[in-house]
This record gives sequence, C-alpha cells and structure tokens, in this order.
Amino acid sequence: MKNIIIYFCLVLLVFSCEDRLEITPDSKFTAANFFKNADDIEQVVTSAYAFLQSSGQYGESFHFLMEVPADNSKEVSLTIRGGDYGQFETFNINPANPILNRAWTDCYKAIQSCNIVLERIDGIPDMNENIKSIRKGEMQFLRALNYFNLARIWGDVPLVLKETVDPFDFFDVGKTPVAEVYNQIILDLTSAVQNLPQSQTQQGRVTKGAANTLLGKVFLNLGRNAEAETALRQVVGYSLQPTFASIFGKNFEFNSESIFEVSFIAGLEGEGSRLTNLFGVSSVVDAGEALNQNAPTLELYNLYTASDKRRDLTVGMGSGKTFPLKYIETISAPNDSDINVIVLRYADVILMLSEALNEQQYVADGEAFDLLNQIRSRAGISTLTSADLPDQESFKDAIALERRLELAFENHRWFDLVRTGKAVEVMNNSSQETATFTVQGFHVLFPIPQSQVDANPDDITQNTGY
Amino acid sequence: MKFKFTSNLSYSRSKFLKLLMRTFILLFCSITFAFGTKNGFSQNANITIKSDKTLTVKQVFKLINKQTDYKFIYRHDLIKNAPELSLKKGIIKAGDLLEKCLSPINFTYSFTKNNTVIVKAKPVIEKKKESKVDNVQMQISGKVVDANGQPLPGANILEKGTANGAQTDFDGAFSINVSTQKAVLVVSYLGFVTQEVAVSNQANIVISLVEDTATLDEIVVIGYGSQSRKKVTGAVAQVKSDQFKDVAFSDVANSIAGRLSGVDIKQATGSPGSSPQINIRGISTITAGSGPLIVVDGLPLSENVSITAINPNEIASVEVLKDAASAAIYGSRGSNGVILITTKVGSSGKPEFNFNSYYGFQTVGKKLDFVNAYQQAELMAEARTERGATIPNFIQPYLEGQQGLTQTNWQDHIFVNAPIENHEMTVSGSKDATKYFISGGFFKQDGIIIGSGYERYSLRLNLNTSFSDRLRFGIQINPSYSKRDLVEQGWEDSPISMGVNNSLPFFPVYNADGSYAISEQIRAAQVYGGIPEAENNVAISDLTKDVANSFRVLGGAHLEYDVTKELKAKTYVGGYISSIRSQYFRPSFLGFYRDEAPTIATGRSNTSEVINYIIENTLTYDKTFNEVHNLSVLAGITYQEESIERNRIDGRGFPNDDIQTVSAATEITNGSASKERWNLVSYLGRIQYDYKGKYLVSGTIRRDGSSRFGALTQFGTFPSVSAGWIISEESFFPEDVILSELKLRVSWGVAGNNQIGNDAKLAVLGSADYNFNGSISPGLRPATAPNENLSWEENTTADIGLDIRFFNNKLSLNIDYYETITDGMLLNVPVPSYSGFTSSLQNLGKMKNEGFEVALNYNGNIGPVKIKSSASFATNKNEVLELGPGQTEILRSRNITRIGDPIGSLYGYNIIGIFENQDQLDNLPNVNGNQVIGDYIFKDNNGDGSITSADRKILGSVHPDYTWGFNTMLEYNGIDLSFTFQGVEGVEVNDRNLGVVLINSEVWGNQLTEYYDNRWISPEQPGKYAKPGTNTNTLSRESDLFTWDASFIRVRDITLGYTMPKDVITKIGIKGMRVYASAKNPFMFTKFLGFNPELNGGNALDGGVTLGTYPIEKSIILGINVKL
Repeated sequence: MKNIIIYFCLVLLVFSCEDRLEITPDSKFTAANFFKNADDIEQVVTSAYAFLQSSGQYGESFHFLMEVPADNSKEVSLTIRGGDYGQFETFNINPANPILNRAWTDCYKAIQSCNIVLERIDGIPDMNENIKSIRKGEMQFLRALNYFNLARIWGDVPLVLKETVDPFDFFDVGKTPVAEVYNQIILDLTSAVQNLPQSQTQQGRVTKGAANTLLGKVFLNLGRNAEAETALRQVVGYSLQPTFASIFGKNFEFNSESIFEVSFIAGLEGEGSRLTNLFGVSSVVDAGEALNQNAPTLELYNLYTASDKRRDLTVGMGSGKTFPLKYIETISAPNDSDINVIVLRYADVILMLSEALNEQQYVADGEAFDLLNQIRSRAGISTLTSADLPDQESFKDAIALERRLELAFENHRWFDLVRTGKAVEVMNNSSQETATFTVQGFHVLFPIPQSQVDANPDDITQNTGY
Repeated sequence: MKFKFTSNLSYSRSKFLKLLMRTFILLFCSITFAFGTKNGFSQNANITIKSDKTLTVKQVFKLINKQTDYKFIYRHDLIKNAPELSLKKGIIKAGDLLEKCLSPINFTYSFTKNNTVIVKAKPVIEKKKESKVDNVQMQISGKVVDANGQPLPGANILEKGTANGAQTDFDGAFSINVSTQKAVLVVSYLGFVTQEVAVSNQANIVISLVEDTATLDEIVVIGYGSQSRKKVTGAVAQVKSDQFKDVAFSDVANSIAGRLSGVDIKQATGSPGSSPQINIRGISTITAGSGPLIVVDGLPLSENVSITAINPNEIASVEVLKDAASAAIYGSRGSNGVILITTKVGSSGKPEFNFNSYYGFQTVGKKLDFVNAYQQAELMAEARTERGATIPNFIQPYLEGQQGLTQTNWQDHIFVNAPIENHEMTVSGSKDATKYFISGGFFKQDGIIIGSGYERYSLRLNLNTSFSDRLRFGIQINPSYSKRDLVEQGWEDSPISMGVNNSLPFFPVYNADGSYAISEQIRAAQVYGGIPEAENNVAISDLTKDVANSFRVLGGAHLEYDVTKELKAKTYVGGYISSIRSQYFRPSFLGFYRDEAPTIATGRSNTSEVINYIIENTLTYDKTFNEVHNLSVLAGITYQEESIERNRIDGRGFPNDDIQTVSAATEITNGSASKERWNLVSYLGRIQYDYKGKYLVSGTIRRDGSSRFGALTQFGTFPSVSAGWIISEESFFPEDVILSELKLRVSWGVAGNNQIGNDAKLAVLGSADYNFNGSISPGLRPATAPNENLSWEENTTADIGLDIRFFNNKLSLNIDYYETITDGMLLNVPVPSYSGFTSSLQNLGKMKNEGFEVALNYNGNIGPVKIKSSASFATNKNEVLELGPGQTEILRSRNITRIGDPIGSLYGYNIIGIFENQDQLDNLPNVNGNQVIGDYIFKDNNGDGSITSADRKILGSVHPDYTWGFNTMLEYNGIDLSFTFQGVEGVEVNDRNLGVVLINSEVWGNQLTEYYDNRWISPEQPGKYAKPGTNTNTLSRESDLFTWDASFIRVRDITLGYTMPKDVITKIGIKGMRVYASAKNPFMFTKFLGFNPELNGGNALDGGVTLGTYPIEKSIILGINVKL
C-alpha cells in the first residue's frame, strides 16, 4: 500500500512542472512576435488610417473642435450629453473635457503607428522597395496631418518621432515650440511628396496630390504664400465636380474633386460613422438617436443668396431645426452611416491658391479672380470682377466668405478664422444663437487636456487663459 | 520505507523531487535527533511535575519513561479505561506516582532487573460476607442524549473508580454491569460537559448532557490544516454555521456581513444573484483586484468565481485569515486576506433528515422622495424660463393646475413586491467507517425590480471514509445550476442607473387597455431640447430579455495516508467547471433613449467556460517530544491551472419578436471568441512549535511561480512568522474566576496580490481596422505597453493581538492592531499619452493600512436565557506613501489619489453658497463670467481671483473611519430571538445619479423634494440649491454638492423562532421542529438621500462613485425546519 501511495504522489508531482509557466496568449497578438514581415507592417499602416475614423478625430471630436466654436455651427443644447459638447459653443472649456482629451490621445496614438512603420519598414525583408517607399510616404503624410491638427488646436505640443519603447521615458518629454513642429511637418510632407504616387489602386490611401495639398495648406497657415503657391500648383489630376450636388454622399465617394477622405462603411463592424446620428434630427434619422449637434446657424443660412445651389445642399431644415446635410443620409442601423468625411478637396485647393496669389500681390481680374469665380460659377452665383473687389483687402474678405460658404462643416472654418486673425472679432460679432459668450485672444488655442498636465506637470504647462 | 523512497528518486530529474527529498531528509533528521535525547539512568528516581496537569495512565508511564529510562510492560486494553490522574506541580518518587495511578483501578506493578516495570492486575481478594449485598452485580441500561433529546452515539460511560466502561450505540443507548448500587457513572462526550450520575436503584437511566461551550469552538481551520483555537497565533476570525442559519440571505458573504471585525462586506447591489464586495482590513491595492482569496474545502477559487452558487446552509464554518502571517501560506494570492469556507461533514450514527423551507416577500428598501407632477412642472417651467427655452406644451395643464392629470410615480411600477423562497433537504449520518452529508436545495428570489430574479438548484455530496486504520478518503461534489434574470444595463435605459430619474411623471406607464404606453415621453420631448427622451422604463425592464444560465460543478477528493503515526501524506485533486450561457434580446417595439419605437431588434448570445483544476500534495508531521515540545510541520507542492474561453455573437434585425435567438437575426454584427489561461506552481511549508502549549511559534513560507508575471520575476517567496504566549498557562498566573485565559500574539508576514489579469505583462496589440476599396483591411496597433518585470504586489503586515477570556471562557475579547505596507503596487500609471499609450502597468508605489479591531463574544446563560452575542468594531486608516516616479498624485475625473492621503479621495470644487445679489456677482470669482444671480458660488480656494482646476480640493474620503457590527441570539424555553446590526461611520460617496439629475437646477429629469423645498427663488426666498435654470457649470465640475455622507446603521436581520417541545413532537414521530419568522434589512438609519449608501468600489482610484445600482431589498420570511 505504501508503495502505491508514494508512487501516486510522485506521478502527480512530476506533472507539476515549472516549464508550464510560460503561457503564450491563445487569442491575442503580442508585440514581441510582431512587426516581422510585410503583412505585419501593412497592419500597422492600416491602424494609422484607422485613427482617422476614431471618435477623437474625424469620427467625432474634430467637428466639435473645428466647426462648433466657429460661426457656421452651434450646439443647440448646452447640457446635451453631460454638457461637455456645449463647452465648445460658449468657449467655457474645461481642460478636463473628454472630447478634448480624446482628440489629443487619438492623434498621438496614430503618430505612434506612423513612427513604428517609419522606424521598422527599412528592415522588413519581404517587402518590395517601391511599396516600402509608398508606405513611408503615407505614414509621413498621416504623421504630418496629425501634427498639423495638434499644432492648430494646441500650439506648442510634444514632438514624438520615434517608436515608444517605454512610456515612462515620456515623463521627461515636454512641449516643442510650434515652429519646430511645423518644420517637422514640412519635412515629412516634402518627403511624402517624393515617396507617394500620383494615384493608388486602393481608394482611401494617401496620394502625392494629398501631400501637396496639405503642404500648401501648411504654408498658407504659416503665411509663406509663395511656397504655398508652389505646393498647390503641384496638385494635378483633380477637377471640380460638375455640380455641388455630386460631391458628398455615398454615391460620390472618391470623386474627381476628392483629394483625401476618411472612409466609412455601413454594415461592417466598426466601419460605420456616427455623424448622422450625432448631427441629424429625428425627422430625418431613421435609426437610433438624433442629437442635432453641430447645427448650422441661421446666420450661415442667410449668407447664401437665394440662387446659391450650395445653401440647400449644406443646411438642412425641418421642424424648426437645422442640420448639416453633408453628413446626413438614410441609415438602417444606429450609428452606422456610410458617409465619408472629406478632409481635402480640390475646391479648397483652388480657393487656397487664389488666396495665396492675392496675399502675394493683388492683381485686378488676375488668376486669383479666375480661381474664385470657378467656385462661384459652379455654385450658380455671379462671378466677381475687380469692380466688385477693387483691392487686396476686399478680395481677402471675398475669399474668406467663399471658403465659409463652400467648405462649411468640412472642419476648415475655425482654423480659417484663427489663421486670418479674425477669430475674436468675428465670433464676438456673430449671431450667438444658442447663448451669449465672449471670445478672448487666448481662445484661439484650446486648453491642453488636464490629464496631460496632471501626468507631467513639470513639462506640460497649461495654455494661457485656462 | 525511506530506502524505497530514495531509490524511486533516482528515476526522476524533476527539480521538485529534489526539494521534496530535502524536505524528507530534514524531517527524518529531526525525528532521529528527537528520539536520541533522553535523561540518564536512575533507580527510584524523582519525577518532576512542571505544572499542574491531568494525565492518563499511559501518559504517566511515558513521563516516567522519559525521566528515568524505566520501560513498562502492560496489557494495553486493561488500562484503557482507567481514570485520569490529577497531578500537582512538584517532585514525586516514581514508585509513589505509580502507586497513585494504578491503585484506583486495582492494578499493581513490580520492578524487574532490566529497568522494566511490569504492570498487572491485583490478585482478587475474597470479599467479606457482610458486604455481599453491595456486591451484587447489577445491569444498568440507559440512553445518553443532548439537551434537545438527540441521542449521542459513541459517548463514554465509566463506572467511577474502576476500569469498567461502555460506549453508547447509534441510538445513544448503552448497557453496563456495575458492581454495586452505590456505583457512580461518569459520562463523557466530546464537546459536552462530563457528568457523574449515581446509579441508586435505577435500572434504566436517561442521561442528558449539556454542551460544553468552552470546548465547542476549539478547532479553527487555517490554511492547509486546522489548529486548536488556543494555539492560533495569527489574526483569524471564525463564524460557525449556527450563527447565521435561517436567515434569508442567498449567499454566505451576506450571511456573515457585520459579524467579523475588519471584514467589510458591502451589499452594494440588491440584484438577485450578485455577489457582495468583500474587503478585509481596507483596500491595499490600487488597480489590482481587492477581493480576498476564497478557498472552499481546500480549493482556491480564482478571482472571478462567485460563491453565490454555494448554498449557505451547506457551510459548517467560515474562517477569515486577516493578517499576512495567516494568509502568507497562500503566497501571491493572500494579500487581500483569505476566506476559508468549510462545508459540513456527515454526523455519526443513523441518518438524520433535515427539511428546511422558507417563504417570504421583499420590497425595495427605500424609495426616493420625488416631487409630484405639479411641482415638477413648476420647476421645469422656472428653469426653462430662466434659460429662455420654450415651455413644453405637455406641462401646461399642470401649470394651469388642471385636476385629474397623469401623475406617474415610476418607482411604484418599477419596484414590485417580490417573493423569495428556499427549500432544502439534507441527510447526514454514518455507516461503518463512512460518514456522509447529502444536501439538495432550491432557492428562488424574484427581483424587486420588475423583470429580474435568480434561481438556484444545488446539490452536495460530502463523503468521508477510511479504507484502513491508516488510509482515509474524502470527496466533495457540489453541482449547481442557476439562472439569473438581469435588468437592462445601459446608462440611460436602465432603471438601475438613470431610468427612474429620467422618466417624468407626466407620462403614463400603461395605455387604457393595460398594454405598455410606448415612446410617449420620447415623442413629446423630441420637440424640445433639454428634456430626457426616455423610453418607458417599466416596459424596458419587463420586456427586455437578459438571462444568464450557469452550470457549475465544484469539488475535490483527497486521499490521506498515515505513513507513520506522526507523518501523514495527503494528495488532493480538486477543481471546477463552470459554464455560463447568456442570452439577450430587445424587441423592436421598444424605443431607445432618444429613439422612438419601432427600433431594430437586437440580440446577443454569450457563452463562457471556465475549467480550473488543482493538484496538491502535502506532508504533515505532528509529534510531541518529551511531553512538552509540540511540533507540527507541513510541506507541500501545488499546481493550479485555469483556462477561460468566451464566445459572443451579436445580431440585429430580427424579422419579428417571436424568435429571439440570434439565429433569427438578419444581420450578425459582431462575433468574437477568446481564450485565456493562467497557472500557478507553488511550494509551501510551515512549522508550528509550542512548548507546553504555552509558548507558541509558527513560521510559514511559500514560493509561487505564476504565468501572470514577467519572465524576469516569475517566482516570489512569501515568508511569515508568528508567536504567541498564553500567559494564563504560567504558574505565576493567579487561578482567577474572572479571567480564565490570556494570550498575547505577534505576527509578521509577506503576502502578494496577483489579481491583474492574465496578459498584463505583455505588449498586446489591439485591432484597428480600416476599409480601403470598401472591404476591411485588418489593422493592429500597440494597445498595452510591455513589462517584463511585472510582479505581484507585496503586502507586509505586522499584527499584535490580545485574546482574553473571562468567566470560564463564556466571554471572550480579541483585540488586534495591525499595520500593512503594500509595496510595488500594480499601478496602471497614467503616462503622458503622447507616448502613444495612456497608461502603463508598473509595480510602483507604496501604501499603508493600519487599523484596530475589537471582537467581543459572549456565550452563556443569564438565568434560564441562553445568550450568544458578538460585537465587532474595526478601524482602518489608509495612506498612500509613494506613487510613480516623480508622481505626487493621480487625478481621475472625480477622485484624487495623493501621497499622504487615502487612496481615491473624492475631489472637486467647493460650493460656498448662492450669488444673492449683483454686488456678489461683480466681486466674487465667477466660473466663466456668465454666472447669474441665484447660481452657485464656487470657492476660489487658491485665491487667484478666478475659478480654475487649481481650486479643486479633497471633498471626502471613501474609506470609513470605522465599521461595527452587533448580533445577539437569545433562547428561552424553546423561543429564540436573534438580530444583527451593522454600522459604517465616516465615509463619503459621490452619487452621480443624485447629483446630476435629482438636485440639478437644470431640471433635466425628476427632482427630489429636497431640491424643491430648498431651492433659491429670489433674494426674498433664498435657498441652498441654485435657482432653477441658472446652473450651467456645476454639472461638468465635480463639487461638494455631489458629495454625500454615506454613514449608516442598518438592522440586517431580526429573527424570532420557536422550537416545539420534545414531548409534543415525539408524539407525531419527528425529532425536532422549529418555526421562525425573519425580517431582513428592516431598518436603516442614514443621512444619504439615495437608494443605498453602500457602493461598489470598482477600481480603487475611482472609489465611492456610483452611477446608480440596483437598490437593496427588505423582506419578511416565514420558515420551518423539521428533523426526522
């Protein structure tokens, strides 16, 4: 009997083996075994694109940071969804605002994916050199776009260009002066222009045109108008759609005017857009809630002349409410809309070029007029001559108004106001349809998310005024 | 045996075997060494008695043998029943000692040459004739029973002064031949007071024994063994089943709440089938799990396993290992304390059947005091006028004061009176060497919220048997099936979060035809902003299906073998298989928040399967050397592994509401499958030593290797030492009638916490897909930062305790003071998110918990009333000592964890009043320049003239200053009355529900009468809450407005029972019957305005914040307990 027992014990003991402690996860990918081949790298590239759809970027937050503060758009209810969204309407922004925090975080997560690819792609053995350079170009563009948005929202921001090994290292990393951030953006975009092809087989990927457009926009933003002109003139292969009605919506995705757009698809898990539900009203939204956020102001509506074809394609009206039609469509399931978010389109290029030319020198009825009139003609409104716009200043105002009407709700308006130094003046004179507010100079930058100041109080100082 | 063992060894290369071998060698060396010590030879020696003691004859022989070298030869069976001998401290001659112990049983002794003493019976001497009458042999039969008349099988009966004895059989019956009518019978039984009965002329005697309360709780279960209560040197608390029987708590944790000092059991939710949160001695972790390790009959459960499926009536005792010295034997799982649950074993003798049934009704413990519809309309109108918003037409009739309008108090419909019932049967007994306990039970609790409930069917078989004198076997099998019906969980759609508050009184629950009124509020509110567009919450709760069915088998078997008398080997194999299947369906005829019906029907099906097994081998060695050195050694190895598999399918677009399984969905929107594993290899050892049961020391060590920790830190060692001094055993300690026992304990130990999830050490990639050309391209991105050094949290606890017993052990007092330092806390450190990560899991930071615990127990009689009473009191002070590098605080949205303060303090702005006039508005800092008269004044704490985030302050602690409990059971003449009180003092909570909606001057949803009565209307009619419609800042800025004192005193239960007199029930052929009535949670005293001041902490960093939970119930039950 004794022997049996001892034997029994021993068998069981041998079984208890320390070698079993190394468990490889059965259903999760880990970084340790990843980033080894072309397929792996392609997945990281894809993830950088995926952040464009995120709620911190074009999926939600950007509309509240780039449109709602401006005069085209309003938050009808200041208390809706806990009041966090209304803060962008009244410039009463709490640094702990989650929309703000999401935007910051999702930009830097996207940058992290770009950095991983840029750092590792040269060492990937099974990848065609041509593809490598294209993917590099894509990542340089996306990194530049993310930094451009960060810089425009917050000014000085940390500049991270390497793959993160240990997040603890970042407790010593502070903000980089915005000028340096712009230098990096220009560097990335210049390189992206070299690396990218004129067109890509897969729709939605970055092209040379997109890189040139963004480069032009960056230069314009910095007041470097000649360089902006040069970059914008490199944007070739695009044309205005024949009508304004054929730009937005499911049927017109990736049209000849579209330069870079964020792709959303209904019916595929996680690929649908929530914007129809966020911005729509219950009379037009077929499924799910209709929050009627980011609503067009009546001031905007009234700025369009009656003959302007853009008015009724931009501002929806119903049961006393307004809504931005560029994001509204028939949906069959809640928060699952098909509508893409256009980031860059040719009409913007034309208006930017026109502006860059005028900024350099007013030429009566010159190229700048032709460009402006291309946009006006399509909209079905009268063309303008030097009789209407006799000097540089009046032309500037005309361009600003045209941009406002043409590009409403495409996340340009607030930055245009800031870029042209008009934000304080224009906003304080705006119709203030939801609530009265006062905009001060410091409001042109948003507060750094409280979580970042809290995590690293020595290096991350709050923007002035907050 | 030793030889064979070593020869077997050569076949194996396992590291462990080497360890085991070393253990064996160590053990055998110490045995040999112990055997070698002996006093020198001495004829007719002096025997030293070191203290007053009572010894058996055999022990006397041993004592002499040890001190002199005399060997004894005797017939073992002849002196078996000899009475014990009381010896006084001092020196006695060996011969005198032998005379003294042998003469009462008519034995004598003689010395032989080889230092051997032969013991034999005295030659029988003829009695004188005159004593002949007295010497007539007389047969006596009788029965030994307990106080309730239950037979006591195996009781000992001894004729006093003789070796003549007998034992009772299964029916408690005995018969004995005595030599004289004057004989006295000594009747003894373990756990009962020994009684002497004069025979006189009775031929048939019924002897009723009284329970010896002092010895009843002698045994305390500790990790991997048990110990005499007196010898315990750690902080171990115990509750026996008889203290919590017959109360309608569905699970054991709720049953013991308020009964143990330092064990905080929070019933934060009344959802039937939910498990309460248990914290032992405060919270000693930041992000890791804070729940204790629960061990059921030796089987450690993983952190996600609920003990709700265990029928509380199958439990014999619950022990809580509170200090690290007791818990360190569980190593990396011991730092939150350990709860040991021991289930019942079979009783001795014939089968005893027990039937227990109760039935009762429950209602919601508390309803909120909402304003009526007219007042609500008034508030809404005031708020909307102030804001310049339209007055909704649906409140117009109310404002005009029309009578006979809809006035729905939604609480009256969401909360229902719900039945609760429990029926169970147990059989317990023994046959030959086998003891069995079999139990089957059915428990059903309907929820007090419509559409919720819990049902449990459970079985248990506990079997213990001996195959031989040396080989024992035991098995426990506990299958259970439970079905839990949940209410909708969403934030806005659920009655347990915003539902009750969002549903306005202007809208009906039912249509005229009795069907649910659907989407009325949504449609009416859609026209206006700032009004909740809530669907009928009663309909949602009732018609949404969310059911979880779980089937679980939990059990284990052990084989125990006595290698020698002192050395026992035990192999234990245990585990559980649990399978949970949940189904969810929300029909299309229900709207969603802001989305009127019809909607798209959605459904979900989840399954999860957990398989966990453990293999454990232990050796124990127990021996007493030289009468005075008691040694107990434990060595063991265990291996435990768990795998968890989950599947989930989501679908939508059901063609109709008839078929509700996902199979009918026209579109599958999500499908996922995952598998996770963890395992743990452990080596453990313990040495317990005491000298004469007076000086006690104990040391444990455990080495744990866990798959959860980084490659560089896979193994950790957890030591502990403890010591005790039973001062009352000392000879200088006066024989005192008041103070009967006094023990001082000190302990120190290290335990760990491994509750951090299975893959936390790895850099896991998360999916981030995108679509090019309309099809999905898979994307992956870094989701978590890796940490190869990730390790357990280490808790070092020092504990000093005093156990005092008074009045012959009737009253006991236990006092403990402890200090725990948690080092290397698993801190999900918020890192600057420009790193691409928002947090990184690190072993950082230090925390201290110190506390003081008092437990007082009384177990005795006052006159004819039997009293069992206990009181507990505990304080715990939490202090964060260190955080991440250079980090002084962790700020969350509503809490702050700051060095020098307790973890997760509530944090925000101070509200100091209301802007009463323009002057104040002009001169005091104003949140954004837009505040108006009647709005709250925020305090400019840093005095910089503006309200910024720097003005926030700690608003309250979520850790109670102290907790207490008191319970008493009184028995008199068959009537018993018991009650339990529980109290928590000095704790604050942030109830989002109350704050955001109920006293919100935005008047978004329903308002409390508290707000209506105390709102600011005008300088002439001031109030403490802001004027309706003024407040646009307080909602997004946490303030003391939302911080509530959550101290409370709760009467947890009151039970009144009646046990039928024995003579009545025996006539109807049953052995016992008790009927009782019990009230659960009948009263609560608190200043808190919400449903329940007890909140689930969740993550300690965000503690004390609730978004609304299922309110707890109060109930009345009637029950009956029958023994056959």
